[in-house]
Amino acid sequence: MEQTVAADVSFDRWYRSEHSRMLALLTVVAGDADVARDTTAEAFTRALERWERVGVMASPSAWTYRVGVNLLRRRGRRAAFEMRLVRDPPRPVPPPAVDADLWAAVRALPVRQRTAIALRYLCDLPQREIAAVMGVAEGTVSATLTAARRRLADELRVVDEPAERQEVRP
Amino acid sequence: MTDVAEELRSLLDYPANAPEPVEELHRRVGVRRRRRARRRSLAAGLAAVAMSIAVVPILHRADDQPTRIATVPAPAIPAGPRLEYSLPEGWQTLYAEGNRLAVATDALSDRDRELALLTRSDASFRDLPPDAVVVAVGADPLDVKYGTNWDGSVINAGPAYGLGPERVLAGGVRFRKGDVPQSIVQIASYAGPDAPASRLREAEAVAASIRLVGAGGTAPPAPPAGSASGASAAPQALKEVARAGTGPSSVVLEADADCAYFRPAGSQPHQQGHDRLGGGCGTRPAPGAIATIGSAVLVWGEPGTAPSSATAMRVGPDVKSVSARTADGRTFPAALGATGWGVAVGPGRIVGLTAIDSAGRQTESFVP
Repeated sequence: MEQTVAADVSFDRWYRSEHSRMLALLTVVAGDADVARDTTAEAFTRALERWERVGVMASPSAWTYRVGVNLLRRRGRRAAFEMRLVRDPPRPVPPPAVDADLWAAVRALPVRQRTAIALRYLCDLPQREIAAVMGVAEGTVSATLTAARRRLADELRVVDEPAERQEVRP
Repeated sequence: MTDVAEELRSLLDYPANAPEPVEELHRRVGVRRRRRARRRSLAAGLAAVAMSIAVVPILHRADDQPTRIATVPAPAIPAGPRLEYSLPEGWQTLYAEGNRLAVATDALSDRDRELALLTRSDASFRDLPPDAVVVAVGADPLDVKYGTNWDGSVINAGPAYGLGPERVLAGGVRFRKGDVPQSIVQIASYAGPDAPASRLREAEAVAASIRLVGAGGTAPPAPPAGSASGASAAPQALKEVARAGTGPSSVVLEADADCAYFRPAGSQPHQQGHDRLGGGCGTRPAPGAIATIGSAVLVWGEPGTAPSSATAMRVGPDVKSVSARTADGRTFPAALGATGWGVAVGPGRIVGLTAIDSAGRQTESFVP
């Protein structure tokens, strides 16, 4: 029983510290603040259900990111089917905190590029962990990030960084 | 890009993005666990119901009931030889399995049907209706279809898929015999004394329509453990419990708790297990009941005399006497020994045993 309480305390602390990052990630990936809020709650609920296993992982956050991204992917497939049936689909809700032009540019990116950008700049994950969360090779992450940055630069006319810094691998 | 990243990071600090209370997550997890437990118990209940429908009747069936399991019907592939035949109106099939068949114009008692299936030329029916006609395909393991009799007379197999000359048996029953070529079985027609001529012609048509169809062939079923004479698996240390017959055809029945075998009375006792004529194993029947142990076997007597037949039996408590009945209707007493074992030896082919208990009740057992 004591172990359960300790696990709950540990989860509570982790949940409070990770929630904003997770919500920001999923907001960018989903392009819809409301969908992101629902998916974030679902991802954390699943983490709590399996906390005995997830809590001892090297990175519980990475596991939860992956769950959230997969949930959105499934939801996106379902939504694509529903959109074909609905004449006037609901408009995505933009996050109030972000500049409208920037948000439009981010939303214009393909989902994979959005995901890579969010994991890199919101979750501060190295390429190796981004690859693990997205289920792709590290080289693919690098190429995806480069393409996303170039496209954002074109859209927003900002100067792109010369290249993604090489990370030091252990 | 740094500006873009900084702008996106503002998402992290937006006040409206405060996490929902962790208690809400705990509540959601609790609801899901309860729902999962309900599903699991429902599945367990369904499994229990399925078990009770499918398995329990198998486990709790009566000993004398066969196990029936519903299966997907497989394509009909006939196993072993089978008989094809056609029946005129008014005829019925009494028995049809493999290469044995009994059809008749009237229902027969089990004993008369078994007797007909032996296709013997000395059958004496007890309950055959006087106007009934029976056509049977079968064989008596103690008889041969071709060759010579013990007295040197030639055994005529009869016409193939037909009926030969008529012979009148006991009780006025008219008997005709035919052959099923390339097989061990033969055709026999038995007609009561009052059977109309039209029925007799129909019997000929039935015999002519019979065809034995071979389909792959199957191995004969294995005999029950210890039932083969001289079987090495059979018990060796047996004690004499009964003796029957006279002269060279007398036999000695030796038994232990659950197996009994008979051997010629004059054989060498030290060669136990190598001189057994018949017998087998079987538990003691219920009070007043009788069971045939093994099948009838031929017992040869003096040279030039007709062979006798013998069979072992076991009776339940309270059985006072047993009489053996031959195919031609003769009866003679059987010898009973300890623990219900008994043996009968007599002239002719033994086809039935009748046990009589202390109250005078009779129980019968067919001798294959």
